Amino acid sequence: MAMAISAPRPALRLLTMLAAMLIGLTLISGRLIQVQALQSDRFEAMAAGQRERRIVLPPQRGSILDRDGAELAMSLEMKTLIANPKAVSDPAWAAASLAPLLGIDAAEIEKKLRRDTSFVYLARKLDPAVAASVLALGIEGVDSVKESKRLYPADQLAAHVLGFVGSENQGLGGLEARYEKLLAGLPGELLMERDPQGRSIPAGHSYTRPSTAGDDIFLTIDREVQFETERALAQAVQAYQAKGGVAMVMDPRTGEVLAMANLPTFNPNDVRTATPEARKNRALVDSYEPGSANKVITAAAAIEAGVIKPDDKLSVPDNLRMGSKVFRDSHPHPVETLTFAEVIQESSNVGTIKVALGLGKERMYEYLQKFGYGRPSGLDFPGEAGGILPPVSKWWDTSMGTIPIGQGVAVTGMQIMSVFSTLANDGLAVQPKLIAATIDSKGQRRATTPSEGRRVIKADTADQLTRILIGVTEGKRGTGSMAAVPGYQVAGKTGTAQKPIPGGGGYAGYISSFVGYAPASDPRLVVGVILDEPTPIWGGYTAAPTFRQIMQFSLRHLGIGPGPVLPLEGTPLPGAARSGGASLVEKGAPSTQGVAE
Amino acid sequence: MSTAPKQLRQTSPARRPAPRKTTPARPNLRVIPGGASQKAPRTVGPRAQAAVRAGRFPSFRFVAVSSLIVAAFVFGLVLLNVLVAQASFKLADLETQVRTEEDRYRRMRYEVAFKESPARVAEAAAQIGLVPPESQEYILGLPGRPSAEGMKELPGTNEQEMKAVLGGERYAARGSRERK
Repeated sequence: MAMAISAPRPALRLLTMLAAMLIGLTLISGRLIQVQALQSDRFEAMAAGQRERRIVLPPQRGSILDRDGAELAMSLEMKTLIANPKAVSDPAWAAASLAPLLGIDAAEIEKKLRRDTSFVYLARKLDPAVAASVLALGIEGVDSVKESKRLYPADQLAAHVLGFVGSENQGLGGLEARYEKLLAGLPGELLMERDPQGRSIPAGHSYTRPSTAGDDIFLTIDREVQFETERALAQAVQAYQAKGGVAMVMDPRTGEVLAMANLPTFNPNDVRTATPEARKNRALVDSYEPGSANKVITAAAAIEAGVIKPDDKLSVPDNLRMGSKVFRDSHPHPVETLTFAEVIQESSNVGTIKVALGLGKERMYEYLQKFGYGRPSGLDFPGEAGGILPPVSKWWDTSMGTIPIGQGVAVTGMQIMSVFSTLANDGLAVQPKLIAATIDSKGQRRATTPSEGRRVIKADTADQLTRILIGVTEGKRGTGSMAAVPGYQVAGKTGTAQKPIPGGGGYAGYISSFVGYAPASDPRLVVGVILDEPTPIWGGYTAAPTFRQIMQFSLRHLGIGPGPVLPLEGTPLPGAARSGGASLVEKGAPSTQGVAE
Repeated sequence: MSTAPKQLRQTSPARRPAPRKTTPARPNLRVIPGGASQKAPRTVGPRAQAAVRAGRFPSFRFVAVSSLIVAAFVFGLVLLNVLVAQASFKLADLETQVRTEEDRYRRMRYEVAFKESPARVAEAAAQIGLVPPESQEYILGLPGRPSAEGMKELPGTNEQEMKAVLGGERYAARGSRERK
């Protein structure tokens, strides 16, 4: 039987081998194209992720300083304790060891350390010394990282101006929120190679983009004046059992706010314990009816419009009927003959309403607008209110009885400060400001541009008003004699206004105020004090002495001398009759109930 | 080349006869005495020629020098790398030190601001018995200047006394400066 032995076919084997090699090479080439070309970015990123580490470099938040460079808010690096619960072998022992150092309940720490996670915060933003003592315990799985903490060295000083930050150092209130972008700076980045154990390779590839520190902000606030203003306000609130209050100091020539105090207050270092009411900057956010302080606008408008002169005499009864309502003076008196200056100095509601009626609704409204009512002061503060100034078309028939004496309109404390600042600045309104300058991370200082004055009334009118208002503190029947500062001439006005019940339905309680400026011949400071429901209710007895305390300290601290003495405007000659006589302004029919002081 | 045997050529009549080469005849080579040795110095030196003749190229000295150069180069590279690494460590240390000092500086600034805060100053002042001034007094330096209520002249500040101290001209000059 013959066996057929097939002859080898080299050509076929070669072809098979060639085909196999081609298929293999094609697969390899395809994979190479996939890895090197089509998905190169993905694989590159995966490789980089294994050996590279990116660290965000948080920027240093800018400081907030007072006008002399004293730090009011600044950031420091603290230590935050973290733990990997999976690496903690004995949570109970670890918690018991950590509790006394951290001042936290051991059970709370143990609960964190027993969580089914690989990361927990044990305590944030600790003093580095405390963190070091914790790390010295050598507890496995417990470590620390750096974190920046916002600190306010003077505690509650100017708290409502500065505001506060959240747990991630983001501004949440006040100037911290308003200038968040400026203060926060820009984060940087660190890219470094690490070995399989996670350690950085010193000579490996690394890249650093440094963070840019936030700008420092210089305020117009004077730390000492701010402190004294807060102290005087706190004493007044306590002494007169008020619900709260506002006090401010301002330079009328530049609009710089030197102090802004609010009560109740809070400590921005511990903002979690503060109520929303305590965190509110009432000087800018709350509107109130200004009461008799508003009479200076009525007087300025009447003098400017030529309706009356300070020496003109008026016949002033103690009440005036307008429609169904009767407006009364603060105290009963027979019909008197008073100069217009005396009407303002004695804060006569009836006399002021009579003059306002001669002025008319449109002109009254025009001057209220000119003095800044109905719009924010321009301070550029978060949540600043613009007050309430209803348009003439919405005025009631009794509005010419209420608005000239400061009821039926509402203003913020800053708005009423701007009114007196305009009078003190020869009739030029200057926009108030809180920011004096900024300094960027390169040390370049940029001063804020001074506001251009806006003419509201003529300088002569402002001068006449000043002489009238000196009589409020120096005149025999002036309502603000307790605001007089020994050695200085002070021009100012008391205010006592009813508080409207929120939502309507009448009035309950009183807001008392005194706003004024000194030295009257060359005003350098405007001070305003507003008390919420003090006892007694009269601004001349509560706000005026507080004003004196603040003004006296501020003048002394800033080295402002008394200046020359101005003669009073509209002061009657000795022996002049104070009753009877014909009225120079006998226009309009009165109404409404009496209110302001 | 027409080196194939004539028999094979004859057995393949179908083949077309190869075309005749028309290469021109080369002249016979001849030895030129000294010809190669005259050109040699341009490319190979006598030592190299000697080395080639002796069959020991490259020489030991050449290898030694080359090895030294390579070793020196490698050593230099390693040294440079070490220096760079050391410098980077030093730089990292210095950067850490700068951060530490900056942090220390900021902490000290905070401490100053904390201790200088008016509330703490007032508290410290009260503890040592200091009280705020109750009143203030002003020195009137100008003659004829109206005085406000509550302002009083201090001894030694009236016109006659100031003239006596400053002299007439200086007193007048001071007054004019004040008025400006």
